[in-house]
Amino acid sequence: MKFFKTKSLSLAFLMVAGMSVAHAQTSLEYPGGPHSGMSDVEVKKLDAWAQNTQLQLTRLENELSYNEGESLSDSEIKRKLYDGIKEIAGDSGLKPGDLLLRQSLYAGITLCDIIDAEGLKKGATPGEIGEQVSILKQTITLAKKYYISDQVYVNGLLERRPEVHFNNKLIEFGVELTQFMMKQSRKMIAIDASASYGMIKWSLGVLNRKILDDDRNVAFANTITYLNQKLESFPEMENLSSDVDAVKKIRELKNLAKEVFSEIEMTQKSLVQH
Amino acid sequence: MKALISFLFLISPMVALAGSFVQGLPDGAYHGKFRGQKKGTVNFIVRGYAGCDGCFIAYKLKTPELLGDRTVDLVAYSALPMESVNVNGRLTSTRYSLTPIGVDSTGDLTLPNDDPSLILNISKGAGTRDAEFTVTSAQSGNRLGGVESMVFLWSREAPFEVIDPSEGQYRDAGSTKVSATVTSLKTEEDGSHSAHILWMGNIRQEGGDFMLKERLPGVYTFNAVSYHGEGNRVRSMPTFIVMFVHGNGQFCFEKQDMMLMVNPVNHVDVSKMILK
Repeated sequence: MKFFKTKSLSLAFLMVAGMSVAHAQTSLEYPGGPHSGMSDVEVKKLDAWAQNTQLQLTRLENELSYNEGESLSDSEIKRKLYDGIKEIAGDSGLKPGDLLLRQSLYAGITLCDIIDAEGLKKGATPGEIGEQVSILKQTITLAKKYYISDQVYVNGLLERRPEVHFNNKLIEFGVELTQFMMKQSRKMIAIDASASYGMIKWSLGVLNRKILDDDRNVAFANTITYLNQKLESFPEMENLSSDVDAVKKIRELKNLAKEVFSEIEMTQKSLVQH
Repeated sequence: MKALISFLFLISPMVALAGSFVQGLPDGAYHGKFRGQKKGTVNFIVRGYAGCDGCFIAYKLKTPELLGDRTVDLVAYSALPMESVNVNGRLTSTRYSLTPIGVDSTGDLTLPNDDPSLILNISKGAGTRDAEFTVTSAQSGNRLGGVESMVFLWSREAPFEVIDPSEGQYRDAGSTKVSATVTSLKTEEDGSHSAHILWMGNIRQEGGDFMLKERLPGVYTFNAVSYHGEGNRVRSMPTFIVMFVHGNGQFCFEKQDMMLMVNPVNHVDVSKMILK
């Protein structure tokens, strides 16, 4: 009875958190999503898309790796990377059904958009474009890493193996993606403080969404609600009163991230023990 | 009336200076000493940037007793404002965290450790030109670039200023055989500079073609270029972190444009290249 009560309470938490977090999620590009009864033909299409994307990304890397010296400026490299990745990531928006490869690419594009938005407001600072190039390159590395886990999942679908789930690794993916984005924001603080703030805040929002999408979300209900409530108390990037305020808020967000990472680790450990 | 105008004229710089203590460090170069050490001086160069009002990039240049001999230590820091200290409701000091800029495992110029290594403390002065600011250890465990305490006087200007790079031939202050030729200087859309460098190398490093890129305001990386059948590639790990300054060069009283190159991992082994 006590267990049932706790579970109901947790689900109520999730519903509240879900309403605030799962916004702007429209229909999936591939009908039904990869984990909800796709036909063999659809799964094969998804598999082909992932393979093709992986090849496109490798081609993009090769094209740029031999031209970086003198023939292409950083602005041109950024444009090529950004356009190439955006074409692949499309309107992913971190939808629950999208392959992790695609979600990683979308995250890189969003970080670049945050930097551009702030750069337009204040005027660009030296290093801004170089940082965007670095983010996009590392995004490709991350996406290629997740292509491997996506392949395991897609093969599992094709082979009708019920033990292969899509939604049971989303928390780990969310943590790694958030840590990657927070690492990138570290240098940004020495270029543009409010952009750095925007990057960290968005990253933590992504983490919350990924925990919510995971099959184990009930066990993490308290973390979801806590993180969601805390994030709501932070202003939007556009509403920061000053750069000094941004620096102060960045410190608070970093503390929150530390707290949440440790909570996730503890819950993961207790799940393994049970 | 004349006397009053003269008085106001005399005190106005002091009032302005007193105001600047609490607002932050004005752009410029400051000359100081390590606390408790008789020998060795240290220069602190401060440069604000558009992306963060109230933040700055600071460069610490440690020099031996004789200026112009050889710089022995060069570290760039990201300086961010911290909570001000108030006593009885009155602002008494402003503090900044100083986090060393270095390279990560991918060769990216970044803050390798998020924790600051030093804290800069500007005490609210009484308007005297001898008021000071101090730099002390942050006690965070991050010891990159050193954590020795330093003290600076406002009135003691360092003999350096940060400048943009110039094309031309640079020669090593310690050897006539080592030279670097900076060509194809370009400015990107974000205002950062990049250039091609033909470097003749020194005892520790091989020479060759290099790419110079401004990664943070005034902080450059120096990456080797390799040539292949398919085209040229830039090595991701930089050979040096570089900054350009105008200041005392080979001779004590002669100010010159210089390129200071430092090992990106240990922040020592500085090469001073002077523009011919």
